Amino acid sequence: MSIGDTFLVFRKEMTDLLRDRRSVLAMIVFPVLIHPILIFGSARLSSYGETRLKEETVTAVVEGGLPDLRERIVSAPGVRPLRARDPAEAVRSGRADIGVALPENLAISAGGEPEAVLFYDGSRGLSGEAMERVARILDEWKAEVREARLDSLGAAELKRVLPVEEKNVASEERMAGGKLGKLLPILLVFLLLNGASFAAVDLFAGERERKTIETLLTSLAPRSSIVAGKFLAVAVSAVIATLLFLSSSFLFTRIRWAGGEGLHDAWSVSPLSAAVVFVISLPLAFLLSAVLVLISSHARTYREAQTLLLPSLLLGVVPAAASVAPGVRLESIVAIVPIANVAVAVREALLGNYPILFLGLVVLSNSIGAYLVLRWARAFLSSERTVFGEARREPGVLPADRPRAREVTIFFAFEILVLYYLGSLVQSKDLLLGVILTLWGFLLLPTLVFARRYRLDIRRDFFLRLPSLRHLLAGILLAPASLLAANLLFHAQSRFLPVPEDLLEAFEKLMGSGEGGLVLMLFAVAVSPGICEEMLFRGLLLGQYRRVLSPTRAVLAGGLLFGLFHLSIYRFLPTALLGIIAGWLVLRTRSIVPAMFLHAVYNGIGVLAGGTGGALEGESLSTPWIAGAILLAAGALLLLREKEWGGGDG
Amino acid sequence: MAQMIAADRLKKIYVDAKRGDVVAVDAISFDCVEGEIFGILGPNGAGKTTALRMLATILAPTSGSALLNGYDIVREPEKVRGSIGYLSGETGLYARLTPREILRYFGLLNRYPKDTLEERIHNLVTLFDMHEFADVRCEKLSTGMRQKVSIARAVVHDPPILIFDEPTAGLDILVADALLTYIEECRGQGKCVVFSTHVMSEAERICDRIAVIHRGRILAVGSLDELRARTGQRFLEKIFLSLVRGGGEG
Repeated sequence: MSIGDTFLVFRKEMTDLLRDRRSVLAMIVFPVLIHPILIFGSARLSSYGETRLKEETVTAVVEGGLPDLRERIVSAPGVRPLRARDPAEAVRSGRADIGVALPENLAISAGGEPEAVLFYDGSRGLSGEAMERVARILDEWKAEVREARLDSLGAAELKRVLPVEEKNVASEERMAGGKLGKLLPILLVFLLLNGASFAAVDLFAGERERKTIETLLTSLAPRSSIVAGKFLAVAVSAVIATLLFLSSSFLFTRIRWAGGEGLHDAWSVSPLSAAVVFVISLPLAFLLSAVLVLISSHARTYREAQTLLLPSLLLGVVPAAASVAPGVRLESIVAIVPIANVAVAVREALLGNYPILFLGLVVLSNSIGAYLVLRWARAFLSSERTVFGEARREPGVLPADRPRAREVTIFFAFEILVLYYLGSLVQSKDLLLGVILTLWGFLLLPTLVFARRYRLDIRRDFFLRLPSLRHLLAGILLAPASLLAANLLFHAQSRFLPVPEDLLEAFEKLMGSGEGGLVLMLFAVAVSPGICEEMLFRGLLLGQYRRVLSPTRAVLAGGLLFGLFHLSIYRFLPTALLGIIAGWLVLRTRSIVPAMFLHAVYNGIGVLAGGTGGALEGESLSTPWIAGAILLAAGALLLLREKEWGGGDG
Repeated sequence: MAQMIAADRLKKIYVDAKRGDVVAVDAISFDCVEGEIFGILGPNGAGKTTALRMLATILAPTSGSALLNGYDIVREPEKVRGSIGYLSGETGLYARLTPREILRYFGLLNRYPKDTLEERIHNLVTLFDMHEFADVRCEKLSTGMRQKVSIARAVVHDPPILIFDEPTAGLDILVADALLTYIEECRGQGKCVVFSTHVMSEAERICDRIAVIHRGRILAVGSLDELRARTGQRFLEKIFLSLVRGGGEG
């Protein structure tokens, strides 16, 4: 690579970009203006909305006794009384904003304590406002009644017990940072992506569409310099957008502060915070630029690139939402998750927290990520397909099998959605039956339909062969060791990524729920996953990936997707490990059945040990357990030593 | 005269998702010397562009090789690029840059000496009569103006070999004529020009030798007279048809 050429390409691309109105908008105008517009706009809008509600008259239906209280409610300012027989119905139909059912008197009878009921419609802002107003009137009235009673008892000193004063110990900077820290990371990631995406589209897909790429590639500049120069221009666009956004946010909040307009000083940024935020955003700017370049270089045309980049823009903002999640701390595995780590680090920096070690980790992980993506992008960019953007491949790569692996992956993504929406829906009705329905109905059935649609041979393509007894036994024997390994992994991981209590509870609820009896439980949580999940992952996915990937890669890819499938960052690694072991077992024995047994026994032990949550909490990690598991695994490996030991073909 | 291009059994196979293996260029061999205009004549889809792209090192050959100015396109592509100027009819320009900026950019990228680059650009602007629009952004130029810029861009670093892939496509007669005249001037300067076209009259007018290419294969190579003698036809169109239809008529 030549530094001179890189710089030459970079300079030309920057000139080119700065002469384009769209890129100037994305890179300069938008980042400078978004903070003022958003903050002014939203503050005005919400205060306007609130004021409007406060000024509206609400319609109230009041039923029942206690005439003085009723009178007080209907004669309150901004309340218009309405006569109706059923207050709840009046509110539901929208004729009234609030319905109040009062008791006849305050006497405590055998029927219980008298109570007042407020009917309101939570979906209507005005109804909520009416509810608040009436509740306030009720509170005042209650306080008066209480005081009068105390007075009549001659117990004036009872009125004042323990006055409470609230004091906020957070400094102004912290308060400001706390509020801003939730919004700013998301805005930052969005602006960064937006600033870079125009450049990425223009400099790669655009160059191809304008048919200038050939002349560039026949010049003396090495391709690596061309790619580097272009990438630099994309990254610098992102950095400019970031820098302008932060400077604008900083200056804007300062000016307003100095001007004393004082909407809130909730949006101020200290100079140190701004500087730290900028520094930690730099490697992210490079990483995201590299990703955008990679995406854009896949596109044949400008429009295609834009279509491809839009979802990545939206996807990119999702991890940034980590800054809004309250429990997410930087001192965890989050520190190495791109985007999310910067979002959380920015939130912390705005609070005035600068954990140097973890900030360093954030910078390092994003830098490594950027380097890896860029290397990939470079290899890709010098290929002919990139130059001409045509779906041409060199001979030697199997064309016919590729789409199948791709469609299988799409099917997997579809299954995740099904699991997420339908699965959780039926499981919320009835946990065990829901799990069974999900596995057989939403997982196995679509898998078989998919196989039929693509004319797959269930026996051959899903490894559905009768295994030898030996292999079957090996699968069962591997289960304890697999569970042990998954447990160890889970424990190691929980040092960095502590499991929230509610997840443990949910897991225990599933494993420990006695309802339906042990048999149903085992069927739902052990046997069914062993069959249904294996058919999808070790049958369909592994079978199709194996056609286009090496055995190792196919097993790894299948395992990782299996981990992903469980939709929990905490369970990702342990389940991926099970997936990998099962995948290996399938390729080793050339049958899916031992893996089914492995999976079922693995989950089965979890169920049996599960009443105490042992499987997850690792109370089972005692020495005899470990020794036993290792012994069994050794036995399993011994059984697997010979390849293809006389397995019948079914 | 020194040999500038020697193509040796150049072959390019694509894998197309629908059609399977497609042989775009099937083991073609030819050579050209300095001061020669070598024409590659063939219908659309004959493999002209793919062949020239391989010479220009934009595409890697599936097999075979070629020497340009003594450099191997597979082993020393960067040295090859330093020896060639490449232009195709569909080549675009950077819309937001001016002709002068584009010439400067490609002059520098192609390592033209910095101290004489401005002089070189000035000469090209004069040669192609671009003074009026040399500092206007390309997006505002007409097709003819743009083509002038494209040619100047291809030769700004004064390469010994020029590869022109259907450079007159889409041009009006006047501009096309000016371009052909310029190519003839290049021959006078001792440059080696490879020129592809499907327009017979152009090939008749400027080419010293012509390779007729059809479905990725060269059917015949020679001067117009040699091709006439071989096919017994007088006009290039007839020569071409006779070669394509089996070459047996004369």
